[in-house]
Amino acid sequence: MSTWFRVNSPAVVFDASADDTVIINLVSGRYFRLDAASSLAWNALLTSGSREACVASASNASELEASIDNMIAALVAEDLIVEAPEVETLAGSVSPWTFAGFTLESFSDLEDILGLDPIHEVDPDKGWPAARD
Amino acid sequence: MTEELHAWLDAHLPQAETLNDGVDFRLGARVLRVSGSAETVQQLTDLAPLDRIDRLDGLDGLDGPDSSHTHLPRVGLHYLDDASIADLPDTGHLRRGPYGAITAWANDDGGYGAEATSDVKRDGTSEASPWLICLEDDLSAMLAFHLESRQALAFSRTALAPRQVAEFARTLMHWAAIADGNVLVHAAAVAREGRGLLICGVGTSGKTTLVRQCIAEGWAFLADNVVEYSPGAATNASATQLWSTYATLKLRPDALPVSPPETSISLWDDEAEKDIHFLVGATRAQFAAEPVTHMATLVLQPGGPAHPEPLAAGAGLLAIAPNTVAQFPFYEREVLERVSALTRSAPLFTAGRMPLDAMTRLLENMLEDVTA
Repeated sequence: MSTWFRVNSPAVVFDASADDTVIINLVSGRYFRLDAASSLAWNALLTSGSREACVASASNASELEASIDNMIAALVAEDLIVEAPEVETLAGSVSPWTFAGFTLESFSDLEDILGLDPIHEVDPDKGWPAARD
Repeated sequence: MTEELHAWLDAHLPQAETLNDGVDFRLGARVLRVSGSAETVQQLTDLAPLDRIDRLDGLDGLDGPDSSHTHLPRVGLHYLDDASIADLPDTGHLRRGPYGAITAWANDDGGYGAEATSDVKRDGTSEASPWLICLEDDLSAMLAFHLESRQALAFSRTALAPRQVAEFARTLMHWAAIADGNVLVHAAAVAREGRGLLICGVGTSGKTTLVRQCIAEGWAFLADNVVEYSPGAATNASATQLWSTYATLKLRPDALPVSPPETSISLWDDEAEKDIHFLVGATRAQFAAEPVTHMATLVLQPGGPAHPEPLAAGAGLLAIAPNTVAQFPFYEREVLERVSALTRSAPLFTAGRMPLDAMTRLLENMLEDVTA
């Protein structure tokens, strides 16, 4: 039985360039970078929608099989993806790709402002973006 | 009473004094100011029955941050739940969002309230007035922005801090930029013959130093801290554009001198802990009143190369996007898309501390390369 995943939106937004992907978790305030190889894996997981379909889509499925659980665990641990019914995923066909590793680079320097609830966590006198003491 | 207020604003718009020498900026907006004289404020206070404007009553006697009038809505803070969104009509040119369209505040019980600060009414009977009106209790001020003529009026009961004067109507402009499909980027910008260079970097990365050196050597100046980026479609322009914002420079006390020095009037700003220089005279003449074509983006990074080197779009997105997204709560997805477009629309470069005497030559070479 497949386990299906989707991006944890609206808490998570992301955008990809030709070589990198930037992912922002608006709740935790952490943001992330995926290099080109990792971006391929991220895209394949989201596009295929499930662990099994993602593995099957890779030309080197056996190599991905050995790494995909760690990859999913890292993304779930940062609340970037969540399990979801198949119907809520982007499940579709994935263009041919080759798994070449996955690294989730994490940054926390903007946690204070990115993760701030602009109503309930702000200083009542100063207003957003000043945080309540 | 809404109509009365609008009539009053309409009558005062042509009489308004220009602020900051009346320079045009951002999509042709003329920034004007009506002095906060007792007479003008009294006229507004007489219009008190209007729900939001009656809070101007509270402006009397307000002298500063010790005010207890915390019931006043804050501009720049916005929050919409699903019900609020559903209740607000879409007027086409007034978009719901931050920095003016919606104000919100927390209640004692931990809940929140939200209120349209413009003439968008929740019952759907909006008159689609061109006036966007905001109150700023911190400033004891009201800002009114005329969406059609793109002129802004400010009414203030207290002396504005230098930074507030320098970035007059920032809340409205911030919101208007988003509404127009653009984005304000924490960046500096200069231009040579209409070719614009966006300069990004953290607060101490040297943006202002670079800008001042460019001004000294005859470049046009758009901003040293906030630049409006337009993807083009919003203004029917064929190319992406950079728009000037504020004709000021913020200098630390230990800022390096440039030659020739700027002609400016400086005021110390306690909050920013910087001198704010309001550009005048010959320096002011270099301020770009028209948008320039976005030709390249330079990301200043500590430890970066002494000469600009190409930067991958992904690295540029990582350097620019998170900080910009953080400035626009509730608009994160759109801002991320626009910043992403910014990193793709023109070549990216990175540099660290460049030799002062070679800065402009290096930038000129960079612009020549991308133009070619």
